[in-house]
Amino acid sequence: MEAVVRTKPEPRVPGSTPPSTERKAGAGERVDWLFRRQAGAEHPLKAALLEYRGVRRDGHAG
Amino acid sequence: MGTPADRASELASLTRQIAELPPLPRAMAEAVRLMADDDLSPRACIEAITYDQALAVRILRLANSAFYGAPGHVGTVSDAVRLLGLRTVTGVLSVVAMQTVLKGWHCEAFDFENYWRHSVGVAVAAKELALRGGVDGELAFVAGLMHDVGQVAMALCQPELAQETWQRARSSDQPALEVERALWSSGHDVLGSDIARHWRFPLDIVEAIACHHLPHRAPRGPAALGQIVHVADAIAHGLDLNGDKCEAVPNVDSAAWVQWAPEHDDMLLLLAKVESHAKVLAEA
Repeated sequence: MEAVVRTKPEPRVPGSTPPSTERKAGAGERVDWLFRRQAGAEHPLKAALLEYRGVRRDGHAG
Repeated sequence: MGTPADRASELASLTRQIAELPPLPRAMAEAVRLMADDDLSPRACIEAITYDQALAVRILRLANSAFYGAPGHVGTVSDAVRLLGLRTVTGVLSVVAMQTVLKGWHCEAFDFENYWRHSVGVAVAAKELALRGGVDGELAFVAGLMHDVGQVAMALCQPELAQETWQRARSSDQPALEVERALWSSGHDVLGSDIARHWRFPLDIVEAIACHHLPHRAPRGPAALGQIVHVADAIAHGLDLNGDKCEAVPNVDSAAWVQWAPEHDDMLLLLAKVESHAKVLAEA
């Protein structure tokens, strides 16, 4: 699986285009986007999905 | 948005429309009877499947897929019951029968393919979570498959209002359920449980559909299908199975998560299993 770097998601603006559903490019951004309604600490499901999608937590591509 | 009286009238109309929905195919109705009562003979269900050739062909094709682990070995419906077990055949039948019934309700307001990919993912995840927790996996599978059936009914019964509801949810990035409750005085969870009750699904499944967004209202204990479907729903949304750009993971109830979700390493295996199996089932 291709590793990708996470970036902080842009704030959601109504009518704006959400991140692509493409898996290889921007996988971390997409996971961040999917969890935009979760408040508080990072949810364990999000941590698992990031690892599953091959996104390293230290911000460097693996 | 109409007045409260308008909305109450629309809701009453929707309830009447649900009561007038066509019955399930006979084979599925027999399977539902079997789900509700383990002591019943499966003969009527097997006969009903066998007499419905189109249904039988699709069931055999799915039973022979990698998902069910017996590729090429299932030649007849009786083989399917013998090799896979009656409960598993009930799950196979549910996939085929519900896809046939719900696709027949097609309307422009509703993207059935997106809906189906997500529903199948929730079914697979719910079954896996249930089996790990010692709960009936096939019952959880069917509950997962049916959990959002209320959305299909909304699109069928009030297509314009359904379209407005989901467009508003997308443009404001609100959970669809919140907009549904504002515009319909009800949500797809309640409407879906009404449909399951209308089709005489077991009470556990009816309650699971009603509680899948409010798992703290689900019955506790080993039959807590509502909690299982809630966690499975979050997993399927997280896997982004439906292909919707505006997809979001709903808020996850922490008590349900702690009770039913596996630890991190097992979760990675579960994610892989759900993603691959849901793809096979959705395309079957």
